[in-house]
Amino acid sequence: MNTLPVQIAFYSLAALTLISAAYVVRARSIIHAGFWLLPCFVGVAGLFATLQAHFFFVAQLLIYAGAILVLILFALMLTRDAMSLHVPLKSHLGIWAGLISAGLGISASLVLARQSWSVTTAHPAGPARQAEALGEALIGLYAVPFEVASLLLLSALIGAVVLAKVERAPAPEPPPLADTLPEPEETRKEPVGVE
Amino acid sequence: MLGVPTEYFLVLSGILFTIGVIGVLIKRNPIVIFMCIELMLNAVNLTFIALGRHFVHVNGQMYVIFVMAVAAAEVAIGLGIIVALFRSKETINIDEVNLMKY
Amino acid sequence: MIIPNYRLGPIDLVTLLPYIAMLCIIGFILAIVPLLIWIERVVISLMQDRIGPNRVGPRGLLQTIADGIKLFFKEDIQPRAVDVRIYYLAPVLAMIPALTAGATLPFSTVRFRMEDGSVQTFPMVVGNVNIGILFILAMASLQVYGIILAGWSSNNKYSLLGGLRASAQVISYELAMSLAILSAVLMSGSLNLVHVVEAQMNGFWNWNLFAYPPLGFIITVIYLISMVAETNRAPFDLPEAESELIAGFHTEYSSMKFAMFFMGEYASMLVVSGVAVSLWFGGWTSPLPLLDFIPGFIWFLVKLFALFFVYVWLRASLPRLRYDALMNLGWKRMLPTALVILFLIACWNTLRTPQAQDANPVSEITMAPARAAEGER
Repeated sequence: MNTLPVQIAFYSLAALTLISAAYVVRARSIIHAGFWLLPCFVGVAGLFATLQAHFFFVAQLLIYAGAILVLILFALMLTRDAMSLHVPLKSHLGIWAGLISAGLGISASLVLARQSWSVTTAHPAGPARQAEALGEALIGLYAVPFEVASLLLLSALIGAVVLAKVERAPAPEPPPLADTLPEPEETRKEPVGVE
Repeated sequence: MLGVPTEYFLVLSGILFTIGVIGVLIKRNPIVIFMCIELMLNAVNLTFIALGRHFVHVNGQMYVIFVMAVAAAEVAIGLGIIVALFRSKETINIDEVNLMKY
Repeated sequence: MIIPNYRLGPIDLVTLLPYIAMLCIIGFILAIVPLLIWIERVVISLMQDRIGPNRVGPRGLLQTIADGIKLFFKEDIQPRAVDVRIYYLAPVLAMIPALTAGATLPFSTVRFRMEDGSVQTFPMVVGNVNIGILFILAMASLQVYGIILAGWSSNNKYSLLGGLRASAQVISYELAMSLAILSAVLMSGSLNLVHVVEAQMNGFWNWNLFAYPPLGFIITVIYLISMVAETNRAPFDLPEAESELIAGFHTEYSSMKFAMFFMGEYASMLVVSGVAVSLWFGGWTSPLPLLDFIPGFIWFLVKLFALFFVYVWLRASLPRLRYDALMNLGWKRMLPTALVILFLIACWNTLRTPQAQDANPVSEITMAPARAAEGER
């Protein structure tokens, strides 16, 4: 593998990831923040590819960009009128957040960068080997965590169904014939302050 | 050989994680906070993959699989909660959602 | 047909093969779309007992080209309230994933006479990677962004509703589609499409369509249905249901941007049909061993056009589904069926080859750009 293309790919993907991540935080409109997540996820996927983790390149695209982000955008579009309500987007913690995170980032980067990472000599396995090693580890050494993760996903599935049901119970779907009922959902223009 | 040293990836993921932390701290909309958590998880994944390559071991990649599973579950539940919360309280300001506080 | 492996310095034809394949795929997709549209119109008009396009060129063959030129020269209308950047990005994002997904689709084989006089067969594929089918799945899941972005940025309630419907539909049917693809992977034992096709060589009775009877057939039907739904075509074209949503997510798009959505739709149809051909209908291999002399890409094209004909046939004969019926079909019928079939195939595999565990841990798969397929003359 020649070095220069990989380096160019790394720097451009890193720039893509960081800039779009910054825009996620900076964007004033929520749905724009969601849209900016897409190049960020794609950039991270590309970084996985430069790390020779081909399976995770695909998994990142499939899970983060293809499923998670679509769900988020979907929720944003479903609650569109809520998201355009005028609430201050920024919390009062701004300055402290900046200071703390800057310190965190700089110190972590320093610690990481000053550690002498011995240059690896082993060449990473090809994608075929990697996928196979992963599969064998999943049903071998990591069988129990794997099952636990599947249980977690199952419980999340059930939980999502329960949440959706509870939320739908007060306002049942109008039957196809009775369209005389007025829509009760049109009265949420101003947010009700609590306490 | 390997084009980019491992520490570059680690620093990059550190910065990405920091951006996520900033977002979580300064934003008030739960969905944006959610996105920033996803950023942090992505940074962690990047670290795991980079270290997995560095030590030529499958462990790092295994963790990423579990992180992705947890992230998927988290999104399904979290978005459900947020939408339900919005339906019941009609607010999206996370500072006003303090039912469990008292 | 055996091509000598011409060599020019360090570059020979075998190393150039992925690039040639890339040009072939992109050129093919972009060039074939007018023909596809013409075929669709003619077939539908025959089925509906109409005349169809017959003005421009012989039998209306140039009609779509004329339409393309017309679209190209139309005024590029930009509505006032759109979100400009996203509005212009959306049609691009509708095309890119479809074109990219073709990268791991093998569509033919080429025989080269190497320097030492031996003849080797190489698959015509851009990236002969071992996760090819997963890559196509990932690209198919990115397909939805063009629709979402278009629906949202148009600032039009019909567009938004169309975008919402499309994204819900695509992510629902993607599950059944992934499970169907996974069962094909279980049947053939590889994630690499080249290997999947090679496992179905030597006659149509080896196709995955007829494997594990009748599971292969059922899962093929499930894939075909979810493929139609995934590309938002009739009878699953609710996102652009003209009777309720005008034109759905591309209501506000005109001229070239509209044409790009159109191209993206047809390109993704071609890609998912190509995946179906590779997974279940034997890819580039000939259905009968005595027809092996016909080159692979012709078989691939024949199968591809047959599937496209199925698309058109469905569009001409089936009414549009209601939305809840669509969701019910996806989640309550196809997803459980696909899960059960996946499970049954896994059981079948395990029962049939109980000694599979002690096979050598890693097969000798090399990751050269184009792997030799051991085609001895």
